[in-house]
Amino acid sequence: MNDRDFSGAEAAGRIDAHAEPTITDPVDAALASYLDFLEGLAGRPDLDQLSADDRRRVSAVIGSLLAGRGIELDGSTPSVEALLAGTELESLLESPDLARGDRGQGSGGDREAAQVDAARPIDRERARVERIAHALRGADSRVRVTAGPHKLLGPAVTVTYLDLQIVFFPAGGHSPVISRHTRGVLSRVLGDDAGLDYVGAVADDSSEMLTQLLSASDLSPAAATPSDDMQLRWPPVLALPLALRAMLELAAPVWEPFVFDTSRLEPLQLADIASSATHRVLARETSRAYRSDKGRAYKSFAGSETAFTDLIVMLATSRPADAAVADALDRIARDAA
Amino acid sequence: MNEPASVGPAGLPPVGQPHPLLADRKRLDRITSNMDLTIQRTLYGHLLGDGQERLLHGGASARDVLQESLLDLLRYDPARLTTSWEGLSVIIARRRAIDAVRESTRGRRAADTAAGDPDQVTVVSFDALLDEHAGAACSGWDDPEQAFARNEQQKALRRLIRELPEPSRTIVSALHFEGRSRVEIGRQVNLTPQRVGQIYTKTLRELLEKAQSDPDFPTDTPRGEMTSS
Repeated sequence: MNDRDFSGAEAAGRIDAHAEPTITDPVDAALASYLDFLEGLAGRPDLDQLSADDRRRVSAVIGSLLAGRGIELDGSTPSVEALLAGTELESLLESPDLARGDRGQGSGGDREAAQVDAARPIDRERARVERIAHALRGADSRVRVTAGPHKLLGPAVTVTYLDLQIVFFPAGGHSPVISRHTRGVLSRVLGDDAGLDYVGAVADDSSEMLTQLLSASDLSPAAATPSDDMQLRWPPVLALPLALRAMLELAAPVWEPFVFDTSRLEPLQLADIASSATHRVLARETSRAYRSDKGRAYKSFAGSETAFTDLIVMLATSRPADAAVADALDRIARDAA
Repeated sequence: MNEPASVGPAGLPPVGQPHPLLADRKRLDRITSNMDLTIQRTLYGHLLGDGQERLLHGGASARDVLQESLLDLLRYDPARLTTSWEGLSVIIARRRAIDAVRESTRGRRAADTAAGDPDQVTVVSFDALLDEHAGAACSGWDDPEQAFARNEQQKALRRLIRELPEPSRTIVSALHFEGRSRVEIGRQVNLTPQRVGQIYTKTLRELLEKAQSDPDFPTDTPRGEMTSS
C-alpha cells in the first residue's frame, strides 16, 4: 500500500468507522471517482450514467478543479509598475494621467496588485540589472551569471566562463552610445582589473537590449597591428544574448573531442601520435568556413603543427613550469599573428 | 506546441497615441493578474504534490515569465489585433511559460537514465513532463477567451477559499491548487482520506454555488463575445 492506494469509490459504498457520512449523492460519488482518477487510483470515470443536470454540476466542479491546479492560494501578482521597471516601456507609465489612475477601485480592478504595489517600493536599478541577468542566463548554458554592484560601474551583471570575464552594465537609451566620459570610465574599469576581458554597455531602454562589447584594446588611444592597419573596428552592436554568444564564439570556441584511432597497428610513439592528432585537428579547424576576424584567426594556425606537437610532447613527458608553457603558447600566438 | 513565444511584431504605439491598455489601468491590472494565473497553471500545474518547490531550473521564475509576457502584450501593435486583448494575453502567457519550461528542462537527465550514462545524451522535454494529468489540466487552452474567464473564476474562488475556516481552507487549498493526495492531506489535518475528499467536494460545490449567485462572477465567455478594442 502506498499513499495513493485508497479508493474514493470504495468510500462511496460503505459506512466509515469514524461515522463519516456515506456518499449517496451521485454528484459526490462521481467527484470522488474523479479524484481517484487524478490520483492514479482508477481510470477516468464515465459520466454518461449521470442525468444531464448532475453531469453539468460534476463538470463545473471538475473544470474548476483543473483550472486551479498550480495556482498559489496566497500568491499576489506584482504591480504593472514593478513589472515594467527598467524596461523601455517604463516611461509610458510616468504620465500624470496614468499616475492619477483609479486602479484597484471597483469590481473590475485587481486589488491584490494595488496592495502589493503599495507595500513594496520599486527598486528600479535592481529591476534593470535583473532584466539583463535574465537575458544573459538564457544565452549560453556554460556561463555563470552574477548580478551585483561593480565598484566603478554601479549596478552590473558579471558573466564568467573559465578565465573569461565580462561585465555588463545598464547604459540606458535605445542604442549604446559610448561618450567621451563613458569611454574614460570604461578604460579605467578595464585598466584596474587585469582579469576583466570585456565590458558591455547595454542600451536597456531598447526592446532588444542592444549591447556594445568593448575590450581594453578597443579603448586604447593607439594600437599597432602587424598589417599597420590603424582602422580598428569595434565589435558590432548586437542584441544582448547575441552579443554574448558572439563573444563566446571568439573567446571560448567549443572544440570537438579528438577520437583516438583504435585500429592503429603501429607501435605507439608519443611524438607520432601527437603529430597525427595535431595535423588532424588543425586541418579540421583551419578549414572551417568562418569569415572575417574569426576566419583569419582560425586559418592563422596553419603551419603551427610542429609547435603544437612539441607542446603536447612536453606536457606529456615532463612537468613543465607554467612559465615554460606560457612561453610555448606565446610562440604559437606570435607565429600565428 | 512549436510556436515561437512572440506572437506579434515588436513595437511601441505611434507617438501621440497611448496604448489602449496603458490608458485603461483597471483592464491592464486585470489582464496582468490573469496572465499570472495562466503562467502559474502552465509552469506548476503538472507538479502533483510531493512538496516540489515552485522553481525553474536555471534561475528563472514565474515573475520573469510574467514580465516578458506583459512586455510582449504591450509591444503588440493594436492595429494588428484580431482577438480581444484578454484572449491575446492568454496566448502570450501560455507560450512564454511553455518556452520557460522547455528552457529549464533542456539538458536535464531523465529520471530513468541509467547510472553511469553520459549527461549529454538524455534530455527531458517539456512534452514528456506533461503527463496525463497535466494534459487534462491544460484542456480548454484552445479557446483563450474561455481560459481567461476560467482564470477570473479562480481569482474569485481564491478570495472565497481564503475566508474558509480550518480545516476546510487547508483541505481545499492543498487539493484544489496544489494537487496533493487525500492521504497526504488527511495526515496533515488528522482526518481520513475519505473525509478529506468529502469535505473538499462539499465545500467546493458550495463555494461555486455561492460564487455563481454573485452577478459579478465571470461566466465562461463564448468565443468572440469579448470586444477587440
